[in-house]
Amino acid sequence: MIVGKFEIELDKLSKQVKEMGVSVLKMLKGAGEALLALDDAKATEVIKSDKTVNDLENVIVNRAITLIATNQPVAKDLRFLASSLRLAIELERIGDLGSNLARRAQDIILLEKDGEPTEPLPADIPLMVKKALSMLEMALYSLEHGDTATAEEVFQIDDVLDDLNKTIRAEALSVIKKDGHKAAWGYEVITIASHLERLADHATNLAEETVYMAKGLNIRHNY
Amino acid sequence: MVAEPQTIIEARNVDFYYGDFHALKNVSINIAAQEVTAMIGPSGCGKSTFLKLLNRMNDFTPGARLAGEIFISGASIYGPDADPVDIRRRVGMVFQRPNPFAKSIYDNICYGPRLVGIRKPQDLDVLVEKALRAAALWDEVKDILSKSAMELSGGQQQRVCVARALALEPEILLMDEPTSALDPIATAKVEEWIKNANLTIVIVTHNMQQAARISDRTAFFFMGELVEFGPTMELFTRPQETQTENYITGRFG
Repeated sequence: MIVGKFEIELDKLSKQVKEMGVSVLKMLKGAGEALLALDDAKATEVIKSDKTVNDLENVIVNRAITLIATNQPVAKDLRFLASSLRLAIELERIGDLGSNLARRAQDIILLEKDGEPTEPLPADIPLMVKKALSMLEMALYSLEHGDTATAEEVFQIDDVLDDLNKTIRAEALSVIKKDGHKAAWGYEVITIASHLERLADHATNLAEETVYMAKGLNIRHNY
Repeated sequence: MVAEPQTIIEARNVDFYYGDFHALKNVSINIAAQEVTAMIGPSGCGKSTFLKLLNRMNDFTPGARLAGEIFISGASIYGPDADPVDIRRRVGMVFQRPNPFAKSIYDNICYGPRLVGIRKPQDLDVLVEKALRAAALWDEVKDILSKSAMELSGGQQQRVCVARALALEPEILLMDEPTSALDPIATAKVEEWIKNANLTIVIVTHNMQQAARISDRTAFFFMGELVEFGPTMELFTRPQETQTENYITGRFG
């Protein structure tokens, strides 16, 4: 029966999406460590791993398109395949943010090496890293288990990240206003907070796919 | 919200038996005017049986028995005053295999109108052109109307059958797997016609993609029961019933 093979293919795709999620989570955890410990080697490792994630995006998108073209899926199969296309794109962007965060860590390391005036990272940055990573973990969990309750929790945390971003930006701007020599450092901090805020947005998008796959409801842009 | 369309066919608690076989079980459904309603389900689920009840095609089936009521435009079609001939004029039907009569294209279309007493050549000419245009066949056959309909391609023959049904200006057209004997090009032409017909059409199809492409609403039958009925796009993207989900995704049984 054709369906047997189709189900095997869907299962393979599902495993690849999960694998991409695992890779991206590892990248972002690494980026967080690189940033908080200003660890150059870790940052390099994170940047290198981006290629794996990019390659997985292509594999997933190609497989999903092939399965749509050859099986004319409907109902939950169609929803899963449509979601896989979006998930691959979201996860790839999250991977990019991981790389970007690692580069910001390297930038700050360079500033310090060059003797540029810097300050310790604002205390809210570690908090923001922790919350963003936890959102990503919850979003991936909700996807794997079709758990819409966990997806709902992800939506709630997003606002906290938005607020933290604003607070950190204000703090960095006030440092820059007091001491213009710290503008480069301030710029890095503002960018880091902005990346983490974007990460939270992408985690929210992942959780929205959980709801779409489970219920067929498109809730994008409702939060 | 778009206003609910007007109901033209209403089935109320319909049970149908072929002898001991309970072919339809308590089916109630409202079918909207000017829409395409698709009936899907596995073989033997009752969808064709239900379709045939809508113009009393089962009247002479031995051992057949109906309970419940079916109304068309508010009047019971199985009531004591109902006239099966009149019902079949109002409710046309196109079958699985094109079945044109072994006559000219022109005479195929005139067959019904002549039976109901339309004889004047001018009237018949007008009627033939109108029916063939409505069936999207006029441009292809206008110069060969005296040719035998049997010489046309499968898709053209099926549209002759559509035109023949339309010549009686039915309120409703029933189609029982109208493209299953046609090649993909002919199928596309018939589907295109269905989508643009502006007529109440009830179509039974085994081809789920076809139901998804051409119908406004889809009814899923299983073992004589109407399991789910709703807007086609919803039924194919987020069916409410597990049985529907399993059938349309091919995970059946």
